[in-house]
Amino acid sequence: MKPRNTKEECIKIPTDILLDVLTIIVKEHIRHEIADVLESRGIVKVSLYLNENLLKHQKVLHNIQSIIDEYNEYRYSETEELNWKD
Amino acid sequence: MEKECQHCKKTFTVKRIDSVYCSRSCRQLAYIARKATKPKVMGMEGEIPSTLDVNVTEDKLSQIRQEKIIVPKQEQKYVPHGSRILNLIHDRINDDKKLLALNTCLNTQEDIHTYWVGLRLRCLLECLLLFSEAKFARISDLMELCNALTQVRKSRHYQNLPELFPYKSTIENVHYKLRTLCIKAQKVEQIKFSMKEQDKIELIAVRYEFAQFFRKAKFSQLDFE
Repeated sequence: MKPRNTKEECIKIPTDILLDVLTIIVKEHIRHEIADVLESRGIVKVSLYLNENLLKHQKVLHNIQSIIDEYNEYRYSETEELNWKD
Repeated sequence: MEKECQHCKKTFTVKRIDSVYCSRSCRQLAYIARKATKPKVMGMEGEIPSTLDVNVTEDKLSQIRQEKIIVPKQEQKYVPHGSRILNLIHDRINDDKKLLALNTCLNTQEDIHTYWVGLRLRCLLECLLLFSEAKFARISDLMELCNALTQVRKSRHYQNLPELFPYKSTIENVHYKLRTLCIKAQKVEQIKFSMKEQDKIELIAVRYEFAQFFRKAKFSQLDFE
């Protein structure tokens, strides 16, 4: 059961930055679990359980999301393409 | 062996040779007494009394135990973490003059060649990056990409690229590695297509730079000759 005041945030982490993001999650003691691995796209879905009352948890989430967004900007620029040929 | 307790001064039989106090409570009371004699305690306001009550009794101790210690909340400054890979991509894009050179190429008389090549190279790089992230890549698909790259390099547009065009060595390096891989793995149906970190960062950076000038085109919609 999910503890009170805890919200679940699902983030999609590209494998290139997986280690960097997991380091943050572990260092900041964020409760987490691997929700899914999208092997065909090199993406790992991780669920984070954040305490809504803790400002630090919000800052950690913002930190992680900005890293992912920045990477996605460099890697994809536009919408992510799944079919290479057509 | 008998010793004198350093807190209550009573004589007691020692269980360990290094025992100093007769009981746990004496050890704790002595600790509290020691703490009380320290001149500065964090968060303590006002003057330090000249005399300190160091004779803590059991009653006082239990009272202290029941009291909730309220530590003032301090605003903890959160220092955001960085990403090593992102920093490497940043460094590659910021320190390199390639983007500037590409911009110059597109303002020369040979800009048609730059545009023709750039459009195709962007498409091929997108495909390569996609394959590098997939669990497996079919060898036939990699060969198709490798052949397209060969055709681009042999094309008259590639031959007529301005001298300034800054990506020739990158493209040749990628082409060489892809061709070697295809030759080595031609007997299998699919492989894990992975790149060295440095190569991947370079391709991400080149793709990003191409994206500033060339539209995204589908592989099937382009001719490579």
